[in-house]
Amino acid sequence: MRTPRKLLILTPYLWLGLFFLVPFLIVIKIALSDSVTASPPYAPAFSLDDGLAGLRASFAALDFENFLWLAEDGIYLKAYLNSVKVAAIATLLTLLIGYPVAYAMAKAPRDWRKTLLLLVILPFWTSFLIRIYAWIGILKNEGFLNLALMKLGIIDQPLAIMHTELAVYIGIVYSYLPFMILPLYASLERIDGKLLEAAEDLGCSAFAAFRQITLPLSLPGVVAGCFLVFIPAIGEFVIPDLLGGSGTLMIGKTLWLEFFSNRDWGVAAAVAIVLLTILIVPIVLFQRHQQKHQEELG
Amino acid sequence: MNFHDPASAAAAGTEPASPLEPARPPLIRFENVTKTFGSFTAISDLNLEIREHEFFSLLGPSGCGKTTMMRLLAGFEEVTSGRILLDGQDLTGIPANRRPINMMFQSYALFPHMSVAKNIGFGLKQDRWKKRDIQDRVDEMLALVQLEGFADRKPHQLSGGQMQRVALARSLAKKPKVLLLDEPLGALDKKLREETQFQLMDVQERLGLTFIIVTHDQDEAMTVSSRIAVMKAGKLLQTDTPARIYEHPASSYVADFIGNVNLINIELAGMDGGLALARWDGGTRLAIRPQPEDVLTPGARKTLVLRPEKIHVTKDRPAEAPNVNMVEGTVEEISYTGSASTFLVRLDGGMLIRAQEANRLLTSRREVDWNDRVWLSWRAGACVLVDE
Repeated sequence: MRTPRKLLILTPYLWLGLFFLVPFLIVIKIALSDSVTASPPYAPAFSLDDGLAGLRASFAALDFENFLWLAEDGIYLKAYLNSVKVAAIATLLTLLIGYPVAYAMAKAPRDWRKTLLLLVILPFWTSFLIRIYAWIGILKNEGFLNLALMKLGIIDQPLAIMHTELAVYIGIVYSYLPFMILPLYASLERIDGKLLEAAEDLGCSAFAAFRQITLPLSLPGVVAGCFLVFIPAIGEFVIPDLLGGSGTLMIGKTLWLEFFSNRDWGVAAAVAIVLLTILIVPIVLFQRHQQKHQEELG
Repeated sequence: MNFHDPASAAAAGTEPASPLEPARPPLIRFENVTKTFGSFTAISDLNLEIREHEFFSLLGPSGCGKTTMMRLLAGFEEVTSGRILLDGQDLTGIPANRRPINMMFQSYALFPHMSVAKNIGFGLKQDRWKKRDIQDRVDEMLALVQLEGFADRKPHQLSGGQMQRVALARSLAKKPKVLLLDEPLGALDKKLREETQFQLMDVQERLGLTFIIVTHDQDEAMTVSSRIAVMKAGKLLQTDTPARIYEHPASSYVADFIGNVNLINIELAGMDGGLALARWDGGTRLAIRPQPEDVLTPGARKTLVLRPEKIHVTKDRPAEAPNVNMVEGTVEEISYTGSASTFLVRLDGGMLIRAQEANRLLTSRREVDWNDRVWLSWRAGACVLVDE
């Protein structure tokens, strides 16, 4: 009886160890290595050929040079800060668009809600990459948007949206909107309609009831939605690469350049580890918040 | 119930008006109120008057329209036709947040993210009371419902009974003219419910407010109310004091809805002295003391309303008297409820009669047992007649 149960509990730990912890240790090791023109493109490569002495020498060769490099060259700091800025603004925009959508869904007749929910999830049925490519077709100078606006006579010069930060915002907001809407909808739909009637009965206008009852009670959904957008948006690579221009400095793209263009695996690994450290803060905050919310629900 | 003209009813009142205290106009008046939802008629051409300081119950099975009545009063629904007056003022078009009527919800609807004090002070804050005044009123309300020291708790830290009291305090904080209570004790267990009923009556008396309670629990309605309106399918069947409703039901439906009852179809035979004589199916002659309003035509078919506790169960034949009715039967079932025992007696004609005796003796000394031949007897004044 005992052993199978232990095995069951052990399975997720084994999974996490094998597919998360071990690769992570490898990334740390690469971040501490030096870049060389060889295959693999870093040194030292740990091997047992030279016995224990060889291993000890390999350990001695590890250093924090790559991290120091990140601190010295201002471009990395700028990329990190810009990523945080873009992710924060995109999260705010997603919230501003997602909240009314989720609110309307939660207030829709019960029969409709499942369908509306399905419509929100529907984009996931198409490849993410294809949907971003579709945005290129919409946003480029001779794309749908510009053609339509020019046909309607609103503009006579195409708007340069493609390869700007605006295009990146459009891409991120579009792609991550469902992650905002779903938790918002879940928390809005759970609010007992009787609470709003009670508020109205006690003298609230509809707006006052929204501000004092609906908004605070939907806050867990707001927090969850914001984290679900903010955390992946910081490290986003595909959207700034495809829609943004050379001026859009984001850390995901910087990492890609270090890895593929410069073949500097050491610096790329260091960039990844620093990014992870930055992300740990909001992730821990998020976990805390979820836990507190769970406790409050009793 | 004798007045069909609301104006004359208002002038005369239902109780005799003393010269010192002229009859006041009713606080709430439903005038030909109809409410439909699509093709469903929830309230149908209803007239009702509720006076100040009344503890008024709307009683009926689910779907009878009692909750709709309450929501119309609160302002959550608008009447389809007719109007509702409060203190002579037409409530039509006045939104819920501007009516001097507050409601205590069945599920309490306490705001989960606010403390007890914030919940109770919520309505006052909407009226832009000063912080200190809110604090004072909240303390006063907490004392009223005996929850001093609970001000900073959140609703999820309270028991069901405590939540109920917070909900009561919150709905009373604005001192509304009318307090609506929607199944206020439905979620409490029996013992707590009884305690709370008396607490509600006490609060109502102390504050001198008008309480309107919606309930499907007839015991609750009987205990707390000064008057009860029994509803069925969007109509009022009878509006009267609990005692009148119980002892002088206007119809067999009301009689059956309130408490246990034997409903016996009879045919009027004639009069003998002050008593009406009737025959029932087996040919048994019954004597009934009629009510002043009874219309007694010989040959008319009526229903006799006979409450189980008005019937005596004895093994010996009781003494013959003109105002005593008696029938013989066999005990088929005895149900013991502690304070009383209910006997199901099969009459020789086949009919089943329910009789109840208080358990004045220990059960071991009870003389009537299963399958015993017994006599059921009741006095002519212990039963009433309603239309069939």
